[in-house]
Amino acid sequence: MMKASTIKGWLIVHRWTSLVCMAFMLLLCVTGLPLIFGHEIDHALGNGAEPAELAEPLMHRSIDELVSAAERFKDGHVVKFLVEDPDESDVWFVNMGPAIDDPNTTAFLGLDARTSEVLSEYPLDGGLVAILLRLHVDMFAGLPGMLFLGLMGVLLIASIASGVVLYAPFMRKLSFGTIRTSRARRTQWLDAHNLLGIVTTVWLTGVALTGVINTLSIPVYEAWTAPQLAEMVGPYMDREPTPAQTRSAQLALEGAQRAEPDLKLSFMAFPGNTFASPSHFVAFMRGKTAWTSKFLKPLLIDAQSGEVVESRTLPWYATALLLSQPLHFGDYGGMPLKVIWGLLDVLAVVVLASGLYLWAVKAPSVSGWIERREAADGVNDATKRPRRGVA
Amino acid sequence: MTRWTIWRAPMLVSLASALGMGVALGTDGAGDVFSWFALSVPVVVSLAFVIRAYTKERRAQ
Repeated sequence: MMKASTIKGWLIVHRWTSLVCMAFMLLLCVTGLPLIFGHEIDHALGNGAEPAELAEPLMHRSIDELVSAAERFKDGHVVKFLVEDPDESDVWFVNMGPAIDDPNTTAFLGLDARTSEVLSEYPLDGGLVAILLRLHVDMFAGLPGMLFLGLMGVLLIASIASGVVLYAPFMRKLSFGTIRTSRARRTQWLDAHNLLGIVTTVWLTGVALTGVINTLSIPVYEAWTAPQLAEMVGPYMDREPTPAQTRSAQLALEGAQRAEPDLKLSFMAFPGNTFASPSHFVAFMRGKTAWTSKFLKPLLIDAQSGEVVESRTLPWYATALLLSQPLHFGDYGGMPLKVIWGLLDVLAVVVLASGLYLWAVKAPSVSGWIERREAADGVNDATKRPRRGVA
Repeated sequence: MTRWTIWRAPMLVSLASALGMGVALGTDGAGDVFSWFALSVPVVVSLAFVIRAYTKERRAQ
């Protein structure tokens, strides 16, 4: 049985960890809800790439033709990455920048693989989903914003943990799920807070933990790309860059498929990019099953011959990051899972908001409640009788 | 309330949530369907107890 002073201590931990992260967690829940359906919202807003129905099925063009088409469409910008559409085999995406080694992305185009027509240009700055995403990821504050939200996530986890510790003493006389509807409004909200809080514990802890891991994605990618990709591309870094006219993304893709027939492309970095070498593509391959599709395997591919020169397996921390992404987004079990994710998000908002209410509307006397408990504990000690079954 | 009666229901809901989150990660098809049911448990339990509490009150009045 927990001592009254211990309960008081945990109440202080629960109150302050919650209050400090409260505003940010409400922001994350509110922006996160539409982001669960970001893909669907993008399609509804016309930002998705929808390949036209063709009267006759056409062969896919060479990837190099698509790259040229993209660079004609966005004059003066170059393709940095080729990205495969996981849902639509007739569409390829390209990520473009002002220069091959420029970290900024200036265009994200969807192209029809059969006609090399540009189907979509993603509104990188102005799109609703893009704005929500920036608010959710870093509040428009870059890496410091991301790391700050990560810290707030750690506080949320501490708040959840202290809430779980407090659950038992609060429920000592109540059966599971009781809401004392005949009591004061604050008591009803307290009961609802305890019920919703305890049933969403695992989900919210999971989403918070994977969210915190995602806030470390930039340092993790740096820690991964710095030693491992550098080790892979290092021996080739002082080679002359392969001229764009003599390299072939199509040959590289075919080489990658030959070397890893059981994998498919996730995305491919172009030569000169920070993810590749001056004379190699790096193809990031993923598996074809639900589980293996979450992991990436980088292949180093000669830019001219398309031969796979080397490959690596991911370090554990990059694997942890890749697994954290679906577990945070809830996008790995079809539309019903997304809907459930959304409902749980709404429950989390109720838990947060009711917690704020419980703090703002002070208990008639928390100290009185604790004093009564202390007195009760004293009686128990005196009579040596456990208080079981009193409720 | 004993420790067991306090924690029995929360543990079952937590187990269902964890399985719901985990299973869909490694499977498709039937695994996804299982996850939909398992991860619905916390939502359904929340709604059921809140609705029960307030409809019971109305009946009592």
